[in-house]
Amino acid sequence: MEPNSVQVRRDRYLTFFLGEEQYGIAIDKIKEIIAMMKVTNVPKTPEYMRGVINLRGSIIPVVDTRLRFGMEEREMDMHTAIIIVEVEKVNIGFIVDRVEEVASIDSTHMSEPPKFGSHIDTDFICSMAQIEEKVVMILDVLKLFEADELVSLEQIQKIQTSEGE
Amino acid sequence: MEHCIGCVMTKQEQVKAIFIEEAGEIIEKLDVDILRFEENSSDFDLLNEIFRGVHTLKGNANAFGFSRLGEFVHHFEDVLDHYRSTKEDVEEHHLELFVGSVDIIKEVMVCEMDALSELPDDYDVCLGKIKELISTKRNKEVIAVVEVMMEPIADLASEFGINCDDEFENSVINGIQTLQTAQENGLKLYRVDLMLDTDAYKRGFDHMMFIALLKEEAVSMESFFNMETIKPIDSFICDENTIAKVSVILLSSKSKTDLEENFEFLFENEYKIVEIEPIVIIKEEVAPVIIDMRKSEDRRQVNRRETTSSGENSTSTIMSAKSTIRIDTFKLDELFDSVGELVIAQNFIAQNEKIQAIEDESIKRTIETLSKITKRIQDRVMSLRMVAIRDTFDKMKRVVRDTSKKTGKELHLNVQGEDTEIDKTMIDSLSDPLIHIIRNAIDHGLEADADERIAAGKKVEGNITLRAYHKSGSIIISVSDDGRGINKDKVFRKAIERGIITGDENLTDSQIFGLIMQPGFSTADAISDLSGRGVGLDVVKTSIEKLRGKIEIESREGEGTTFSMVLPLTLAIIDGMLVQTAGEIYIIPTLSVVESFRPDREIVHALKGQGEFVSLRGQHLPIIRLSDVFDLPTGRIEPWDAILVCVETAAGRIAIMVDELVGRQQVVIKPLGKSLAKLKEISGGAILGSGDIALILNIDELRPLIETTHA
Repeated sequence: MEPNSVQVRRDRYLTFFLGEEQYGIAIDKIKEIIAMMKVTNVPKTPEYMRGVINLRGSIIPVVDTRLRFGMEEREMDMHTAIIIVEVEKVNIGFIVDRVEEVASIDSTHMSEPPKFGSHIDTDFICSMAQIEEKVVMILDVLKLFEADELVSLEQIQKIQTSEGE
Repeated sequence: MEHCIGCVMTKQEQVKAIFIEEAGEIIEKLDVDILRFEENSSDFDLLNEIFRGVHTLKGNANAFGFSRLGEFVHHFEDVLDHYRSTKEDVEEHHLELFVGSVDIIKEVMVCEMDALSELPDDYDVCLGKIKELISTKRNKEVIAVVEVMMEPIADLASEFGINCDDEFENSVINGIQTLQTAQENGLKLYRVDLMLDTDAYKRGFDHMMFIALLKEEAVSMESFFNMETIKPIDSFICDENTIAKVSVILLSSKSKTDLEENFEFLFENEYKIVEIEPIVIIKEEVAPVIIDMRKSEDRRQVNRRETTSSGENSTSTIMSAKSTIRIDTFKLDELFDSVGELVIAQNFIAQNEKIQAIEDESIKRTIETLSKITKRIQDRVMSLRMVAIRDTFDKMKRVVRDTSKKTGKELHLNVQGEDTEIDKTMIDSLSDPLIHIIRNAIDHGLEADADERIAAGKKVEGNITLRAYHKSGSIIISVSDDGRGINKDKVFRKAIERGIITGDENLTDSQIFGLIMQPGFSTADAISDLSGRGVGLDVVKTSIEKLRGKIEIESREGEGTTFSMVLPLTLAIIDGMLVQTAGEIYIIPTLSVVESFRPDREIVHALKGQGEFVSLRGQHLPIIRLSDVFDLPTGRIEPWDAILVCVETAAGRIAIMVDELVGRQQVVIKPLGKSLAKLKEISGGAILGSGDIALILNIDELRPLIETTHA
């Protein structure tokens, strides 16, 4: 019985392209997908941090996913989109080349990510999924962000003040 | 209250939580009122107010088996009632007992909430004193009071045809009398008895719910809980109703049928509504007759007067309660955000060139109307967040009193501008800094003892002034003392000693005074219990800066010191100066801008290895190129072709070099999000009318605090 109940699990993922490679993000993390819009540059940030956008009155930081993955920068075109993802209650935009589809993937079609040793940092990839002929790399958005030293300054300040008292 | 959070609350627990919250509010109010009363013990209305609070608290305490609190409050109430009914002046030493009692009530409340078995040390002592006080007072007039109090009540009750053989009924009838005197034309007086079954809570009903419903209908109302059948806490079952009877007396313009609608889901035996005919209103002419019969003219007069005034008061309280509503601040924030978006969208329409090009009178008018409405909504929503600073100031009275006791310094507190409104979120973070500054003013500001003051030709009694007022778009809260003032030279020497400054700096007076707020700075010769450890003022400074405010210190030696907290009107909006550099727009908070100018070539100096300076009226201000700070790709522009914005920072004035000024406008501050919060130079972002984002500069971080020392 056990294997059957595992087989029933089908999760849905939004898949998108960066260059030739297809990636997926669990759909429950995704708030919305918007077309590329004006990004205001924020100085003194890593290159992949493209800046901030005004999403209906909220300011949301936007990451150029290509640069984050160490890929080459590319001209924006009509397919370029920003995927708004909620990471730990904070919205963050990821610029991707092209949004593909929402795919349901059986958990049996998922496998551990292989160690690439290539230009792709495998830390962000939580598993590899097989959709028909294609291989989709499922991203762990939390890791994508935790990997960076993005600790809230507020938290640091809190610790400092509580120590100071 | 906190221990309730996190677990799923049953109905009964919810009611309990409400009770506890209410009790907390009452105690907080008592705390304030008792101090006001201490100042002016002849304020009879205030005594009444305190009495009512204590009375309600007693009900709450007993309802939840907080018997120890209940007992204490009960006796305290007796004492208050005595003074209230006799209008006797409260003796000075008894005032002290009152204040002490409120302290005990506070502590016992905590013990009860945490179900601690031990009581505060002073509990018994204080209770003993209270009992003693009552008995001495009672003995004096035991004859007068007992006879007079009981008789008329019994008699009047029999006039209603209501059987009254217990205390509960007595108080209900008292309540009826009270409201009768307050009864006006067109209002009917009802008595509603609630006798909820034991399973009422499980059916989703409770007394408070009905009281709340009745409150909506009532102009004035009083409720009485019969607590006789309440079980002690150990056998208390929280989802079972053990309150036998609750009687509510209310004045209402509604008909009996209207009132009955509130109870349509109850069984018939669980409630009873009786309309009390107004025929028994004691008219002025009738009164003397009755009083004559009782042979107690004076006593009755006192009673009458008192009931009238309390009746009026309760009317006004209920009226005002009706017009307020509690809202989760989170919801308010959401509303605020949405309005922010609305304003931006409206700006977009108003400024859109294509729409402007439309030659249509009605469209133009509609857009104009939209702008007006949006502005109005924005103003209203903003005002929702504003509350008077009164409550915070009231709390400070307590601080002043305690500090004065502790230091043994006699002083007088002046409070001005209590009605000044301030952003709610700001108020919460204001208490601590304010407490600190006040303590500091009393402990350090005022002279050490009376002799020193007399020697300085001042009155023994020190003066502390707490003031709140508006000044050019900011709110200023200041604490002044008339003490010895700050010794500038001492501060200066100390700062050098501590390595905070080198002594070469050309510091203004206010900058020197500002040094006392640097970490690790304390000029106090001895460290006292209250302040002087040097961990104080820098924390105050940081917390005020977090609110985007600043502290200004003025002092005249021998005359006193004033600490002023200059705060923005709200946390969410700042007045910003828009500047442009390398094609990007940045915002400098106008609060810090001193002036902006295009410098002459002659006053700009470049020092090798130390950067550029501009000489301005004898001062040399370092020039900070914004494009350099942010590594912006731009061609080299000379300062005389650019604009210098002179700003006041924590570390003194600097001149920020930008390409040009764009304008000045109010902007809504938006956080940039966690990931960008580590950017010290930027404090947030704002959305401009065009929909573009501009970053707000944190000017204090554009230069390290004081570069010379980094020990």
